[in-house]
Amino acid sequence: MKIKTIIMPNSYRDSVFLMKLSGQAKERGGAETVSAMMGTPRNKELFEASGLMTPEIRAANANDLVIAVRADEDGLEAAAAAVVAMLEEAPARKREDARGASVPRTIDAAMAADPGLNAALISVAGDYARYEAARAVANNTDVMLYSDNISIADELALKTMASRKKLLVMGPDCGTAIINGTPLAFANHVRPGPVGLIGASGTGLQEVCCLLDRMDVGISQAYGTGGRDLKDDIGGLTALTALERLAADAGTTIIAILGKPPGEATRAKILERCRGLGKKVFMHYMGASNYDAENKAGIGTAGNLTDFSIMVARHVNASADLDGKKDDYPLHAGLKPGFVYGIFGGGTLCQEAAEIAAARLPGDKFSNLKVGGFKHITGKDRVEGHVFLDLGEDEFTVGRPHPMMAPELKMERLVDALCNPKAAVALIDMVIGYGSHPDQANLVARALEKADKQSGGASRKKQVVASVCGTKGDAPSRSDQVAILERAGVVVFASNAYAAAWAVRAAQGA
Amino acid sequence: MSAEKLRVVAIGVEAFDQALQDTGTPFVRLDWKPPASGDTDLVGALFEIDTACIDENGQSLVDKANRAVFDRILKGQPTLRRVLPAHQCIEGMTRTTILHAGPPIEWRDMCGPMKGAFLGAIRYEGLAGTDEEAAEMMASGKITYGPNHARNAVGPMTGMISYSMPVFVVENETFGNKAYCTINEGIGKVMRFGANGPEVIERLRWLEKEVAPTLDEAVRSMGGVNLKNIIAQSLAMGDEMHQRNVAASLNFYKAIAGPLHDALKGRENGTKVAAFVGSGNEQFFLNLAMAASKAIMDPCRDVPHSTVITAMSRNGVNFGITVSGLGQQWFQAPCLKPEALYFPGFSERDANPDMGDSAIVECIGIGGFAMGSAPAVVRFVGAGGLADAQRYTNSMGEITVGQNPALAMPNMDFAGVPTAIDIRKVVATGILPVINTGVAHREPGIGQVGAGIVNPPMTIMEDAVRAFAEKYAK
Repeated sequence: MKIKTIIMPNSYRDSVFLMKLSGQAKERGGAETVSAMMGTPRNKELFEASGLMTPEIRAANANDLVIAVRADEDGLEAAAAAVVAMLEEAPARKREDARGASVPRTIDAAMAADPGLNAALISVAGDYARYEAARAVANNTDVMLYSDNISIADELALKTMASRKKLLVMGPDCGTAIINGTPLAFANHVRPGPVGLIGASGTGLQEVCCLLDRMDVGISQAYGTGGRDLKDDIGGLTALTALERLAADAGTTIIAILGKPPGEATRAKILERCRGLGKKVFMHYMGASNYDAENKAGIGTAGNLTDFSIMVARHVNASADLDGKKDDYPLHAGLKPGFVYGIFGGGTLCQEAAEIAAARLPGDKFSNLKVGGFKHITGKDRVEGHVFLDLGEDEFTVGRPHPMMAPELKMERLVDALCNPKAAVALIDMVIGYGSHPDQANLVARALEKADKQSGGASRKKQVVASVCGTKGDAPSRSDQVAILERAGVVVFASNAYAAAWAVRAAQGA
Repeated sequence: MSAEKLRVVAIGVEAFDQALQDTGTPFVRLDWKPPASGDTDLVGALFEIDTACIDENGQSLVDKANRAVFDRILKGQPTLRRVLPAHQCIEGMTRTTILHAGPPIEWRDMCGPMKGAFLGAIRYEGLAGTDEEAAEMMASGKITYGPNHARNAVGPMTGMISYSMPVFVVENETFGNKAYCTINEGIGKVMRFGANGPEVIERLRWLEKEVAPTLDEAVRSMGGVNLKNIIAQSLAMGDEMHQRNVAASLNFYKAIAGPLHDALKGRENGTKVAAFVGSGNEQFFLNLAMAASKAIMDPCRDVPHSTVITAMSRNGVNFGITVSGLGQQWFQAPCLKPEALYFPGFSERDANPDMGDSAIVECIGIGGFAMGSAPAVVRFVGAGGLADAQRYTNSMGEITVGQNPALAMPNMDFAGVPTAIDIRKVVATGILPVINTGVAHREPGIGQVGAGIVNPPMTIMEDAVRAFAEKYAK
């Protein structure tokens, strides 16, 4: 094997683009490895770790696009040429707008050109994202901070500044928000309505938005806060600012807060603020069991996101309910007992499914998330037992796009599970909508065919169980994706909690 | 709040654009590259400055301080008051004091032209008869020397100011401070390029005895000359006041023509003085523009939390800057060679590293910053055409606090010159200040061999940002 490096000076491209390019170029050019990244210090460590470091890469800087190709000697030049060709085919980044004016290079310049800008969507590497977020706040805009790798101290510094200016820093590591009707990063097409949502970061918020929409209840805002906002280190600075916004918004009559259990002091602070709001409040802290203080204050709570969404919807419309298969859907004959393989792209959805399994599924259980009653594993471990994996965790996303954008690895894991003789049920989530891969259902259908071939038909005896987080307004629509899955033999449920509950029953045999 | 539609600025993952497009949300995707050339420690320092230096309302103390400095620059009203020997106006001038351009430098470390100028200045003051004696005085510490900038003064190239040399006294009427600069000697063999032969010394004596007293009388009789007006008018006439002072020199002469005529009445060789001021030297006004700029910038020093550059200056070895919130501390590193056009017969090999206090004019937004308004200078300084010149001015807008409406550029749609250089923006964007400069021969006394554009070294900007973060953000 030989390594060839190509350095393209001053050619920034975003990480998702480059990660996709790396994957596609590897297939097209026949290389063993293709790695295209910006030459930042952090990425250089990755080149080092993967044995691709060369003197040229060491000399590159953060503005340089660095491509390393590893292939056998005969194929090296062709593989490298394939990458360059693909880069040339990709649309060039715009340096001028339609009127020929040069496109601004900094947030300050953009603000100078258009003082009406009021939100910044930031998804560059964390080392730089923290600075860009600070510039956005300095320029009086809210920030949606998709980037991760930002320290708690930096998050606190950012949020302290923002909070004093009554601005929102949604993140870091925030995947979802819908502000004034505009979806930011991963989000779904949902109707406007009276419910103002505040959620930690990602799929939990999407699940509740979509379930409400499917019960004809709309949202006013969906604010993300980032997964650490409710820790006492941060003190809920973003959540509290978001609460103030919702308190002031006449269109919001109901407020729903969801996340992981907050730090004690922060939980009390949030509760205290909610008492005086004069609006109906619902709360769901994933994995929390004791809501005495909240319930005493008249706050509605529920055990999972599905029950929570229904409770919120019924506050608007007493007869609201979800269509589709629920946890009481009958087991069909012929289901053999075995292990559940939960394969998720959404962290909150994985957590919720695992919490449901923890209470109801006997036997050894493993997850790469922290779940009570589960043993901790990494994605590399091979174990005997029920497995719930979140493929959106850092261990899977270094140098690879999030599985919601690029579900290839998730599909490989699905095939593996279906070919495993001890598996009874494969449980998957499918989050559709903005930001997500546009046709995951057909990828699943193809994975099932592949498993069928690979296992000599044995995989057909396993049951694939899914929920699709999305709405009829998404493109493609939820019903289109559900139809494709059902044609492929997947049992699709109305929600993630229902799918998990049914999968847990099915794994114990009919 | 919910009525207000989002207008988004986006950097990073382009796949997120789809949602904005589909929902008709106006957005601008930046032509982004990592700030500070991707140096994560520097980005960290910038981040700390942004997030730690805030008031109880989250407002940036740095932006506030910079805005205050910017306002001081705009309010500055430089007026030429007197033309006096240095010892009568500059504080602490003794017979053995000599001031030089740039940040502080030891005798042994000076470049050839600077050494030549010192030797000439010592002989001009009659402190030594020969270069050898003069050099001995320098080496043995008999001469007190230091930067002009420390004494509210500036000088072009070598920037010599000694005890008897006449200087323009420019008062900033708004703040009451005064700034000083010598009279431009003209072209050819001149002390500012390190020449120190008899004709150089003779010309300096003539400036002292004949030119300065007459100019002083003329200026005094008219109650001062408003330099800001001349700068503004000349900007509209195609000068940027660093490389090109054709209109400004003429405007100045026009302003003092009557009183100068009166002052020269009855003097022997009066015509020679009038010709020197009026037609002998197209760069006559440069030294006035420098003194005016210095008078404007000095009240901007020592404003806590301000990241605005208060002086840029070179001593022929090092380029130095001072920053308002960091007081008198110089941040310096070896000068870069200018990108220049050379006069016939000369090349880059002949060039001395950059020299002079003249980059003070860029600090107020003229010179290289106003290149877009000076089409005639563009080719000479190595830019391709008018569009290139305007690009220079526009890019200076990205590293400055604001525009000065009193110095409007007609062919830039009357935009004010980009004013008050912010080191945070320089480091973050990687855009360095552009300085229009003359190039001196590296041998003393040969004079100017070219002209072009020069940048400060980025390292001094980075050092200043680090020092600022250390002082204010820890």
